[in-house]
Amino acid sequence: MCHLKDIQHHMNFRFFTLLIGLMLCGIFGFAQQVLLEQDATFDTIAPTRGPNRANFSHFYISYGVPISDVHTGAEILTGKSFDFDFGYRYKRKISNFYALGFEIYYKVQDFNMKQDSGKIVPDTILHDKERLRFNNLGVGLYNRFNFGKRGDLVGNFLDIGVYGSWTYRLAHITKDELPNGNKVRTHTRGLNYYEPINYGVIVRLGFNRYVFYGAYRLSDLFEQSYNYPELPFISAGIQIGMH
Amino acid sequence: MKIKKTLCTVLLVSIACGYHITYAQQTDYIASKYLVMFTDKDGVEFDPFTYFDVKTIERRIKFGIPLDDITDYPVKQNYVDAVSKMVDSTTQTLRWFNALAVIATTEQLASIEQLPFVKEVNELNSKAVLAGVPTDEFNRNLTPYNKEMLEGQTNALGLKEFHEAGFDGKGVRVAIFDAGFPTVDINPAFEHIRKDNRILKTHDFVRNKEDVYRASGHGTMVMSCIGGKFGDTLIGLATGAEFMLARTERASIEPFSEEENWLAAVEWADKNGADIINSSLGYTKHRYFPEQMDGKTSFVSRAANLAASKGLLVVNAAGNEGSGSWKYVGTPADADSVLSVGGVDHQTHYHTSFSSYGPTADGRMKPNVCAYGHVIASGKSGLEKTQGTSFASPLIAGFAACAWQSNGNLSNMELFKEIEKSGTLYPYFDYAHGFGIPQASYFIDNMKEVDATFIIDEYGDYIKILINDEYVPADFDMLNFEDTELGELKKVPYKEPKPKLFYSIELEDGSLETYYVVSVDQKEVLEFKKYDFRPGKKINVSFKGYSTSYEF
Repeated sequence: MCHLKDIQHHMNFRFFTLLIGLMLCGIFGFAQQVLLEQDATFDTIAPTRGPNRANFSHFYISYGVPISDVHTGAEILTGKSFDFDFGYRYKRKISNFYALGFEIYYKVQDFNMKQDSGKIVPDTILHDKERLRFNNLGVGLYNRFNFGKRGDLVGNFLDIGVYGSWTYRLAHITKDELPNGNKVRTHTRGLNYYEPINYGVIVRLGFNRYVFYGAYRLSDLFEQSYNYPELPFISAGIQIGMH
Repeated sequence: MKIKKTLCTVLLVSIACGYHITYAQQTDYIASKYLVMFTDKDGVEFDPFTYFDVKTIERRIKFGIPLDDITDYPVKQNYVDAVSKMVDSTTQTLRWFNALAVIATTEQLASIEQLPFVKEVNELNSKAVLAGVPTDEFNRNLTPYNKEMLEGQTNALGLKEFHEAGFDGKGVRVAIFDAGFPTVDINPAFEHIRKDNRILKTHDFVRNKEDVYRASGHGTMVMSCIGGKFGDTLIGLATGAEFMLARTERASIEPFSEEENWLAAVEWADKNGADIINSSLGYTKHRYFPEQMDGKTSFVSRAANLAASKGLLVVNAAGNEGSGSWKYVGTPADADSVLSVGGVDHQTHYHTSFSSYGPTADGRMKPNVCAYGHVIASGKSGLEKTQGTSFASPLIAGFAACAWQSNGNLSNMELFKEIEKSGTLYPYFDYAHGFGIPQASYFIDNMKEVDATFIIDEYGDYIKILINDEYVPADFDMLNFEDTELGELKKVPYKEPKPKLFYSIELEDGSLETYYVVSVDQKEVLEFKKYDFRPGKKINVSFKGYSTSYEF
């Protein structure tokens, strides 16, 4: 427990240290070069932030692919489609075994659709290449279950969580080569046949900074009035925590 | 829709149960390896003369250590048998902790905990970090720069003084705990040791076999820094010492290990007559928090202190976390009776950035001393440039072997203190260098007299640190690079670095508030206002081997 008096004392100390530092800077400014400087008193104060402390936060990147299922409006070229996230994740440790957390992220979902007779989203016109790219801002909430005793380390864990995202832009991108050899690339925005709000569940299996995830979208991508068959509900990939 | 409903239900249940599950699982062990500690050794018989090597007996008699105590007694066999029947397998039986390391399921563990002779169960799930990583550079034939570096790593400790006086660690037995010793059985750097059959014992505690000449080459390099030599060039100081090699770590790139191997190895070292243990390993964030580095929390620290109480000198690398988030020494470098070794840069001769800092969590000074953290060592197939406190530690272990040979009447802890006193900074210390680089001359001349190299002068409300005129540098060379014909920078043998002055602000309780290293460019190095310091505080200063203090 840290009393107010201690805090004041600490602040006085820091102020005092700053004064000494400034004084020394003045001296060294014209003379000596400080090669090593360590404040040992400050160093002995235990932090509350850390991979296995009360609070921990970090940025992460994520790369995954949609997994095709049978109820889609187009067969997805898995290797050429992707989900990419860049986010910030916070974790509040409740016990060595359990933590709660949230994340906020920017996400790009890119569906590269196979051009065959089964493609009916967004239309049946065939192109050389065609993709739908959803740009999202999202929030996630998760439970984290850690396994094994550990020190100040994220460790091995299982996350079970939910996410919700706002699709602020959908782009329909096509590429075609005309008979005369010219190439045409279209990039159509301002579309209104998508659902702006998406949500789903996510499961992650993590090993320190390396995390494998699988997500299941519970919401529809397309507005019901358009009666479009859905694109894949499932995606899976890897995340890397930047810590 | 059915799938969606099911998923939603699972999710909601998991969130709702989260808190409940966490507390329900607090005592539910999920990992698989545990240390089962027993209540007693009642009725166990023990004969030290049949168990210990004769050198262990001699050491204990010489230093007045009881020939045996309860920690030396074996674990009760009926306890071991009873637990062994209840688990999948066992790994180590540990006398000093009266414990058995087991691999067990949660259910098995719950049953074991009910046994009346089980005192407690601790999870063993830690990983060790080798305190050094080989760099890419590899050379059989050393460049002039690397040759000078190699000579520097031993000369900085006083190789010539020791060897001219005939001290090369002869008769001193050094046990090395590491991740493997490939090629030690064929490597020319150890030919002089093999020729005299001075590798007395080997044991692989990971595989429970005698062959240790495999796996990571880290141990090979560490051993070379104790007693290796390549041709006429010495890599370490104790070329005449005897060796015991214990493989306690598993992997080469990111070593995974359990502390019980270290615990078993330290018993093995004591049993077989080791005088010195070198351990270039540290346990940090995989199991512990920095505030637990108090020398009492970890099993390895407690085992290291026990080893010291039985007359062994334990030398351990401080660690390479100085520039990382951990920053502080690992364990067992935090143990009170462990000689913890930090690293200095071979060019600047002060703290190298990766070397872990002290103090310990309970405020004790660590590291105790330091040595080169950038070295030339013999790897699997030749001389390599490498870095890490892993290699500073064996340099000191080799130094300790020579020092002990020079005065065999010293007990292990007396030797510990004498090595500290021989440091270039002593009695000055800080939490990056300890007492500095130990000097062989201290053990040869048995005294350390240094004339004053500076004065602390009072001028009214000020005090000033003024160095003697002969140390005011007229000219110096900061960069150890020169232009090649191609216009690239090329490293060249370093010139005399700028003089360094060490100073610290000490609190009334003897701990340090701040500490510094500054380069000296002029006569008047520092100036302080007296009223900035409350009475009782001290300024400690060390320069060119001379140290003194000013108390406010």
